[in-house]
Amino acid sequence: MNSARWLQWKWAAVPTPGDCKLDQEILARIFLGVRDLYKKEGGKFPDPILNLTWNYTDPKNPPLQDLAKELNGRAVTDFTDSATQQMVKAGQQLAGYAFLRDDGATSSGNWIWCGSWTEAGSLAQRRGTDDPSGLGVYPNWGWAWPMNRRVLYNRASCDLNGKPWDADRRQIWWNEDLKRWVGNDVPDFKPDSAPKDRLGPFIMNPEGVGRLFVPLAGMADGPFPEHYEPFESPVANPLHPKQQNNPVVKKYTTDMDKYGTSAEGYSIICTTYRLTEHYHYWTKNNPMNVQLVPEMFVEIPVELASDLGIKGGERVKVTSARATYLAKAMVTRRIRPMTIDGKKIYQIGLPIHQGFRGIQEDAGRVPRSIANLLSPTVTDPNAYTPEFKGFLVKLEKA
Amino acid sequence: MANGPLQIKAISGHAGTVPGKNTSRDYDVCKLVDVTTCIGCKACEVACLEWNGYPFRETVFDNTYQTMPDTAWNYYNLIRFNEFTDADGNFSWLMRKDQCMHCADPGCLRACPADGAIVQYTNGIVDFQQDNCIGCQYCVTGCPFNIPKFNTTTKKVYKCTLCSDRVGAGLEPACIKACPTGCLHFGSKDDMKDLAETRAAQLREHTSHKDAGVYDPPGVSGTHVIYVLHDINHPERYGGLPKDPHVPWMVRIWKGPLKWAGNFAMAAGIIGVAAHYLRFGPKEVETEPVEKGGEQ
Repeated sequence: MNSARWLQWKWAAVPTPGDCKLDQEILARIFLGVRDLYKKEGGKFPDPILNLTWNYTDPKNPPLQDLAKELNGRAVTDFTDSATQQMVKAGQQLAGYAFLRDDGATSSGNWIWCGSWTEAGSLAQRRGTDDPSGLGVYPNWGWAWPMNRRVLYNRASCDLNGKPWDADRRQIWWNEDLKRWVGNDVPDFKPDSAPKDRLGPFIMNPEGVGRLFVPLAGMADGPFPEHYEPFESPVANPLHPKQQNNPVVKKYTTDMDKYGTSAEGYSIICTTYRLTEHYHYWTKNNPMNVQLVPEMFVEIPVELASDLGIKGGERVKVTSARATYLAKAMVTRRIRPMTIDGKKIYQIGLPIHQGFRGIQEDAGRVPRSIANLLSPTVTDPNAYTPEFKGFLVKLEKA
Repeated sequence: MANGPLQIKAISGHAGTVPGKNTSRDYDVCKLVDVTTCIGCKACEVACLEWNGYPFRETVFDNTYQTMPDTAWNYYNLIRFNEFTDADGNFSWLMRKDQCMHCADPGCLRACPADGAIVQYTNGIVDFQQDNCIGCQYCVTGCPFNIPKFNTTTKKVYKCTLCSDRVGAGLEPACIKACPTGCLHFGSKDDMKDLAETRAAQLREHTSHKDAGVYDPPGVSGTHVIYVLHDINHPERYGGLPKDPHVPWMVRIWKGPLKWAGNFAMAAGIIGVAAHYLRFGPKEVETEPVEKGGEQ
């Protein structure tokens, strides 16, 4: 699935090497093992585990086709759809989320994917290259959730009368003769709702329009956008020093969840990022990537390196309130000192990649420090994005 | 290999000459490297290794993003990184893909004494044929870009082939195929030169890079790998690209006039000896009176 919401089915190119197993086989074997244990030994409330539907053609290694069909959804018993009067037989794949019912007649893994694998087959496997509108919609290439709508809220592309704002980029429009919304994309709207009825295009909000002012039920904080400092920050919040951080920021309470301040000596800002030569962490195991970047480093401004007597290539130790991180120093002019509120403040950067296992790790050539132990697990209260890119550390020669 | 369309040699019932007779439609190929849009991702380094079947190697961290200090016999191209600050304090992180430039007047080929060890195709690609290489490394002396690299085990020299095998089959070089930003382009020298000049003009007109230009050094009669640089006046900042590369004078003289001078000296010597013999005859040993009691 990509960030345009397309499901594009991919076929395996080669079988898994050696003893490697695919995710679904690993999960299936764990589940079957746990279920057996509950059967033999009992336990607290085993019902959801013992009664879990597991009707795959190969229970130990469910084919992805089985899973995709289940996620789409099917009829559990025969039923007649009230809107279309269509008869759906038990076991048939459902054509869309409008067919989902709350009386047990249907089952579906997730309503947004209902319509991706119908009785016609897997729409995610389609590779139609036609684009009749020339807008780059490609409606028959793969399948976008939900219901193959390529642009969400596309009713907003038209004025109050249902006429497109931009004649050169017409996505959908109101057809008065057919009394329906039609166009180059699937309407993200009630198809027969006439413009004069003034149904708002932002259908996921009850009032149908976008929001600048967010009622508290909508966001954990609000109602307006606000500036808060990261949980570990070297400066006071310039808007309101008495409320430094987001008051509803999500924190945890394990013994690793400690925080440091500049007063305690954690006076250097640390941020984390990735390199183009890497793909998450598993490229630690690929000789090609390891060749391009043989070990992890800490990027340190020339001025800070000079203050601390650190030379490029030397091993350094980065310490936060939670953990230490060892790596070689990359002394660079690309990161500059900052002057904030009259104070000279340094920032250092850690590309993330090393871990416990990998080509260099297994050969004992790198220290096996984990960047995520250094950073704080403090998360945004709405999106749960963690504060891995702004926290405080100490830096010294190792 | 000819890369032009079909050419007509004879036309039935046609009055007059065959149009285009004796013209050549073979064109020079060219790789354009737009340094201004390179992100230094090294996909080109990897693609080259994979296409040529070379193994990935162990490297060490050396306070730079550059994979290693120099190209090698089995590592034809390398992105060279340079953090540069100018006199006004403006900072740039320059990165340039370094590999054989496929000169139109290749110093390596001029210097090479081994028949067939280095060939230049009509499309401009300069290729090493290791079967004919004698390992003398004169090509290393002849190259102004320090490209040919000697393998101490096989005793042969190696360098980028501009993927002559792929180009011969109508494909683009492996590095160009792998480049994710499209900063590498491949086509005819004319087209690539046009594209490069357009890009350099765009940089000069619409950005702060008033000295942007195209690197196609005349000292080697132009190259089949050209660069668009932010600053054409300081190519040395891009990992040591020479400002005015040319075949070393020593190589030119030694492989050119000095050969003729040597031939002339040899011929003059033989003619001189013959002429002397004809004029003065052979050296006669004169009979001298033997001195009594003297040396024998």
